[in-house]
This record gives sequence, structure tokens and C-alpha cells, in this order.
Amino acid sequence: MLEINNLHVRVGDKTILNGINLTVKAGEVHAIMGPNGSGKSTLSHVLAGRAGYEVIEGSARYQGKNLLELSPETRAHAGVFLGFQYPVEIPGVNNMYFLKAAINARRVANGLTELDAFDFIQMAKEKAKLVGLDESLLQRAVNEGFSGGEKKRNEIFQMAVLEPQLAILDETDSGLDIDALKIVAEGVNALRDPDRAVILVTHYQRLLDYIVPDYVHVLSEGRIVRSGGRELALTLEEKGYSWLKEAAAT
Amino acid sequence: MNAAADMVARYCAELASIAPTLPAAEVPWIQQTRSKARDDFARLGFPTRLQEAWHYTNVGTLQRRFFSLASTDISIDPKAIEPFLYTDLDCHQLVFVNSIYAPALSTIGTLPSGVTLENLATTLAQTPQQLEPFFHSREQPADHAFNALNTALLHDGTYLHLAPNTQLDKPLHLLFLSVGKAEEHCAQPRNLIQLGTGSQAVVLESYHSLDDAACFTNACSQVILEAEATLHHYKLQEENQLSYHIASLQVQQAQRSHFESHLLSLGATLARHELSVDLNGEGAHCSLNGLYLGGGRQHVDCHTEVRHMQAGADSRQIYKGILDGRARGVFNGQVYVHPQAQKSNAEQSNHNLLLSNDAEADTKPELEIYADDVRCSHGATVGQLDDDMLFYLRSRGLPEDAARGLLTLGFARDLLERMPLKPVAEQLEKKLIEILSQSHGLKSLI
Repeated sequence: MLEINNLHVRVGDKTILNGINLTVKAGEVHAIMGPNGSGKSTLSHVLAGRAGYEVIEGSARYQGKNLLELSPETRAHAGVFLGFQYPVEIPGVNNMYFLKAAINARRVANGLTELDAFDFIQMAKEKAKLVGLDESLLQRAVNEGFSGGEKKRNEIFQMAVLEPQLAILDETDSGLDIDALKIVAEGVNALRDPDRAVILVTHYQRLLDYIVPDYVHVLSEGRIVRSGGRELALTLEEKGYSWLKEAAAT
Repeated sequence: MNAAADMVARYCAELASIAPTLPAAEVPWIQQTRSKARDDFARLGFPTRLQEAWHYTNVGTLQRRFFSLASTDISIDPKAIEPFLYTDLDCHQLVFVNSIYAPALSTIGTLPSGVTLENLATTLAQTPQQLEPFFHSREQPADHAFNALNTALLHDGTYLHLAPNTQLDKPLHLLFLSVGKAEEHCAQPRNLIQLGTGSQAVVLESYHSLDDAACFTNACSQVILEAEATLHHYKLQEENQLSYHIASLQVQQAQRSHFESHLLSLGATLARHELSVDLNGEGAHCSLNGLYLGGGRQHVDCHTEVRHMQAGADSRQIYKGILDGRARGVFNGQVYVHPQAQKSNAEQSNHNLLLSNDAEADTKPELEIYADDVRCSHGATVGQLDDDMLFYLRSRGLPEDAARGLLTLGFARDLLERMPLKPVAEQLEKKLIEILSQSHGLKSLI
């Protein structure tokens, strides 16, 4: 589904990603862990198409296409979803209004008919229930005045509505209490499917207690320095990120 | 004489020749009011950018052509006005064509006792003495050329009077239509509104073109609010892009009266909206809300002037501009607090969204505060759409133009939400979506 090859990315004159190699197949859940500043968020944003990042080398192919040359909306139409670490507040833009426009833009791009208001609302209400998002938030402006936890739930809610093929969740667990974390995890688990893949970007292994990954990768200074299974996350938890440096030094 | 002076002379000559035919021409004080105003206009001429109040707005192209003042007899197909009506709003409706009342298009329902509502020509002809409260200052020299021009022609418009403790049962919609096919025309409506103690009314003024000819509207509305009276005033300005719209709305407020205004400025090549509010009584309150859109080479100028003359009055101003193409938006907000006006509370904000590199916004708060125990705040911003918001929406699948349209609408949304009259807010929102859809792919998605 996703093949990243030797990806080098620069922001301004600072190189952030230094040759990332990663292959994600349908049905898999990959966790990407790493200390602050290791390039985790840059990787997420580059995959989703945010402006301001310069790819200086390497490639990223998604479903056989050159992902990096597609606009953010084209990536979304092809099934890529980014759950933001810090979802932006958008005053004056109603959550439901926006989401209906988003889902219909995607349906139209994929040659499907638009959902009518009634079907959309029914579906949205079901999904809101699934991720424990208070229905009253649906009619509010996007993320405006939401608590940290509500913003993250809103991300998972949008993911549930949009049903992406490839979900990239950028520190979706940060700032969540344990109950919210469980709900977010349930939302992600409900999406797990042989045709879909998930990339979980996280600083802590706690989230991986609830969403069990197939692979864990450790990112450091813009490179994947170690890959392994679930146990790698536990080792990291136990020994800390400094262990990596010591391991690298020896 | 230069060209500008020639043009002023031409208007004055036409005013002088029309004067004997105007309603109440035989009433001495009205005749004097008009002729003094004509003299004032002759003396003042059109404003120039050397005048502080017109620093950002050049009326040069307006004064280079002559717009006829003569009344015209134009009949309009009732179907032609349907797009301008508020379908879900039960209201009294007065329609004016080039500022002349069109009874066939108007509907005034049964009025509650204590309410006088008629076109101004009728009042001038039958009971002109009722209008005296609006013309107290006729002995003083005028300093406003466009108001002088309007007064010099004083002929038609609206007269609304509410006796104390009366409520106008339905909103009043004043629909002003410009027609210029035969001859470029100047519409000069005058709307005089007086609400007695404790009375309440809702008034909407809307200005539209019926064809694509250039017209000049020089509108003047005056409002007198006695103690504890409440007026909600809406204005939609949507004349075609060749037209000129100059308007002033002057409000006098007695103690504990409430005035709320909502402006949506969309049309005309040059639009100027002046709103002055005198808070003459303790505890008076005004809330002024304005949204102006400009595209192409439009120029839109909102001038507010709020004077706190007595203690404990409140004023709130929120104006927002959305400027695209090579449009220019001006906000000039004056707040004056008299030495006696302790415990005044004045807030003012102006935010501008520039959608293109060539659009321009000028914002100028002017605060003059002579009392020491007051709360006054003001803030102004000029910015573009937020990149993080745009990326967020696009990452969920919204095409860039739709994302821009949605954010632009979001920028304006709070001003629509402030409108208590929901059928009006909804219709204006549709209008905004329509306008934004011309440059952004918004409509297909909503």
C-alpha cells in the first residue's frame, strides 16, 4: 500500500528526514516511535501533503502512485487520512457542514453519488456514538473551544466517517486520559480491516497496549534506527530512548 | 470654473428648477430647509481626499458624470422585485423606484394603533410639521455635502413614527430599486424614524439595481430613539458594479434606548456607509455590526462615529471586510467620549481578510476620550486565510477552492449569527455562498 524509499526531507535549510525506508501493507498496523525532534511529525505531514517541506531525495508511493506529487485533497480522495497532533480550531465552520462537504468531495472524485443530508446525518450520528463524541459537538465550529480530548475524539470521529485506506495518526494519544485513550483505540481498532493500514505515530508505548501493532519502528534523527515487533515498544518503555543511543554507540 | 464646480453648479441648477414641484414646496420651513441645503451643497461641493473623512475614498469618478435628479415615472413588473423579497419573513413592505414610492409594489398591513408608517412624500404633503424634530439643525452650517444634496431634494422616502410603548407588529422592509436604462439617475431617499419611549421596531433597508445601468444612490436615514426605545436596523447594499452608493444613517439615542445595526455591503463600484450614533442619554446602548465584501475594483468604505455624551452608555462595533481582486476596503471608526460620560464602555473591532495580493484594507480607529473612568478597547487586523486551517480542510478531502470558500464564509459567520432575524440571516448567508461560489467551488458541496 505504502512504500517509502530513502526519503530525505528538508524544512528551510534544515534536513529533518535522512533516508526513511518503510513499507506498509494492507491490513497492517505500524507504530512509529521516537524522541521529540526525531522527525515523526514531519513524516506524517509529508505523507499528507503539507506545504513547506522539501523532498530532496527518495520517494513515497501509495497504491502504486507517486504520493508526493499529489495535492492534499487528492491524497484524501485516494484514502489517506492524517489525524493531527494539534487539530486546528476553525471558527465559523460547522463540523457537520465541513465533514459533509469533505465526504462528498471524496465521493464525487471517486465517481460516486453524493450523500444526501439525511443519510449523512444518520451515518455521522452513528459514528459519533461509536467514538463517544458528544453529539452537541457536531453542530459546533470545527474544534472551536473543544477540550484537548474532544479534539482528538473529533479526529477519530472524522476518520470513522471518512473510512480511509491509510490512516496516519500523529500522536493522537498525547494529552488523553486513560478513558479517552481507550475510546480512541476502539475507534482505530474498529477500522482495522484486511484492506486498510494504520500508521500510529507516538511518543509513548501506552497507546500500544490498546492498539496492538504488527510492527514497531524507532525513529531517531530522521532515520528508522530499529524495527521490530510489539516487544520493541516494551523494551523502549523499559530502557528509554537513551538506550538507542547507547546501542548505536556500541 | 473647473469641471467639479461645473458639476456642482449643474446639480444646483436642477435642484432650483425642481424645487417648486417638490412636495410641501409651499411650507416655509421646508422650503427654507431645502434652499439652505442647496446653498450648503453649492458651497461645499463634492468632498475631496484633502478632507480627513474622505482621505481613503475618492469620489472623482462620481462627480465627473451627471445623474439626473428629476423624478421618473417607471412602472415595474411585480415579478421583477421577487428576488429581493424575504420570502420567509412576514413584513410591511415599502418599495421605491429611484427613490420614488411605488404603491403598487408596496404592502402596508393593518398597523397597530400608535404607529404611523407612510412614504415621506405623503407626510410632506399632509403633515409636514411632524418632521420638524428631524431638522432642528437647519439653522447651523452643514458640513456634509451628500447630506446637503439629499436635503436639498427632500422629496420621498419613509416616515415611521411610533407612539410611546408601541411595538411595530412586523418588520418593515424598505426596498430601494435603481433603474437607469433611459437616463443615469440619482436616487435620494430620506428615511425618518422616530420611536417613542419604550417603543420597538425592526427595519430593513435594501438597495438593489433592476438593470445594469450606472446609478447613484445618495441615501440618508435618521433615527430618533426616545428613552428605552429599541430599533434593530438591517441594511443590505447590493447595487450593480457600475453604481455608486453613498449613505448616511444618523441615530440619536435617549437614555436606556437600544440600537442595533447589521450591515451587509456587497455591491456598487463605490460604496460608502456612514453610521453616526449619538448616545445622548445615560445607559443607552448600541451595537453596530458590519460585513463588507469587495471584489474586482470595488471600493467600500465604512465610517462609524459613536459619541458617548452621557454616563454609563455602551457601544460595541464589529466590522469585517472580505476583499478580493483589486478591491479596497476602508474602515474608519471614531469613538468620542465626552468629559461627562463616565462609566462609558466602548468596544470596537475591525478585521479584514484579503483574498488576493492586490486587495487592500485600510483600517483607522480614532478614539477621543475625555472622561477618565471609562472602558474603551479597539482592535484591528488585516490578514489572509490561515494556512493551517486550509491544510486541515484539504487533508480531509476538500478541494482548495472549496476550502478557501468555506473558511471565508467562516470568517463572516459570526456576523450572520448575530442577526436576531433568522429568515434574514439565512437569506443573506445564501447570498454570501452564491457570491463566494463565483470564485470558489463552494456551492456544489453544500
